[in-house]
Amino acid sequence: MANSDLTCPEAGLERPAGSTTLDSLANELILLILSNFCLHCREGPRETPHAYFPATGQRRHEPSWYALDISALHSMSLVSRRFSSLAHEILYHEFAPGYGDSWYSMEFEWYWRLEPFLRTVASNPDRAALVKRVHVNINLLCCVTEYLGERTEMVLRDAARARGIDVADFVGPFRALQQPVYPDRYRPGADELLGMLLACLPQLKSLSLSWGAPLCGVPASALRIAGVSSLPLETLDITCCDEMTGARLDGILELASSTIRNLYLEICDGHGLRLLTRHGPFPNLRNLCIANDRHSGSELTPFLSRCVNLETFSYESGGSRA
Amino acid sequence: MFFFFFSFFFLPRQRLISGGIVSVDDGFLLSDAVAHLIRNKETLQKLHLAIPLSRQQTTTRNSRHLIELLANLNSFPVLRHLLLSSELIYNDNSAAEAADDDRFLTRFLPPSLASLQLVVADEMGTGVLPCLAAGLLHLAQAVSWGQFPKLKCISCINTKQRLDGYGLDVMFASAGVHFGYDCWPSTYGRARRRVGSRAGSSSRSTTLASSDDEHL
Repeated sequence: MANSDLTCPEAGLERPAGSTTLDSLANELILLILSNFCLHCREGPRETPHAYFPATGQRRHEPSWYALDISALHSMSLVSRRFSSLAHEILYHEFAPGYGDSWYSMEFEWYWRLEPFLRTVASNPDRAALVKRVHVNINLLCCVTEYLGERTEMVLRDAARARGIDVADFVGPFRALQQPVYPDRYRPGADELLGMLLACLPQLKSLSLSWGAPLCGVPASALRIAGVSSLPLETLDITCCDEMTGARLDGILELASSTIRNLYLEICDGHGLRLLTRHGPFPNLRNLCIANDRHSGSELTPFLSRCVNLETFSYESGGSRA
Repeated sequence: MFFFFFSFFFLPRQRLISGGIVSVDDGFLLSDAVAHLIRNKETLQKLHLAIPLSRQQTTTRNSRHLIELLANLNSFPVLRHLLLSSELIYNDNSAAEAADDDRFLTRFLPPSLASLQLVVADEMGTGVLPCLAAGLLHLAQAVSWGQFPKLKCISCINTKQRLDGYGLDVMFASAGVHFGYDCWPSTYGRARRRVGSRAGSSSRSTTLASSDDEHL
């Protein structure tokens, strides 16, 4: 065999004859390797409830493990056109910054994450159709609010234009919802971006809302204005559904109740359960997981009475982890 | 601001885990939720009930629903995965009956069962632990006699090897069932972790990011 066959000219390194390079692997194999860096691919259709996602030992002064995974996929997308298309196919499966215990990393920069992601999926329907899973950490939303400015409003305006709607019509229901909270100084912010994001993702199967998200709520009427009559969600994972936060979920529950198959609740009190009961029945609900519950059983009874054909019932009362 | 939110997230969970602040609520067993759960028995494949009961709570107030649930479990035709707090089976109310009857555990398990997990409370009475061990030994026998043909895995959670002296692992191994210990609550799902190292990268991707990938 000629020497040229054994040498990688760019790197000046020799490699053994007959060795396999990443570039020589079939697309299926490369996708299999890359899927290792994707939560959605690793977990498959039956994802672990956020309440039970295993702790990784994330430390405050170390990079977020989630960001490292995404960074690996992104780096791969920069290698060549072929790898770019393969990596993007997986990279856009999910948008879940801060998932699990990765939010604990102080090195993760929350600023300017939601806006560019919305801009991408709003202007690129092919990429939007790849997104199956979104996790909303409260820090993501608070960062939008903290640095609210022209750029944020421009992203929202462009996304509305891409959907063929007037942004003023879309934010109207948000303004009405937030009026009691911000009577004098309404500006479209985090919830509006989240609402538009949900409207832009036609294949979104899983939505996970961490403590306090959304900030005030995503009105169903705004989503309808954006052309969404129902959300395609199969999994809804809610951390904290109580008197203070439960009402913020009204719009999402209203548009997703007919499709939800997996409902995962962590720290849900009687108010949260009454809210869920009001939005039920969930005709396709098969898997119900209640972790760290904070209600009396009597409030669970009306909800459970409307559940038929459950395949999983998981109930952990509030003191189980003591 | 971010410190506030980190604290906001972190502290409540710590309060939960550290225990003692959150009261244990046995409301589930006091309500009619059990009856509605039983209505789903034809389709239920996975049932987890992690309800720690203190000594005061294992009273006749909730025993009616508990008995109703246990009496019905063996008629759940497709139930494959069962996780129960062992106090639901072995508590002060049932201890006398369980002590006299090694088949107490075996009686209520459905034949379709593939995995059984029992959460054992740290404070479980010394008198109750031998009952649990005896129940498990009888279960191992039952499996070796051909009952529970699908049963492949049994784990005791939080027992800290307190059942080691009973020879359960040998008995179950001879019946073709894996017996081991596990920790709560990491047993719920087996989310696959990424293979490989986490070292050597940044939290924000390179400056080569195209505008499409700016969120990365």
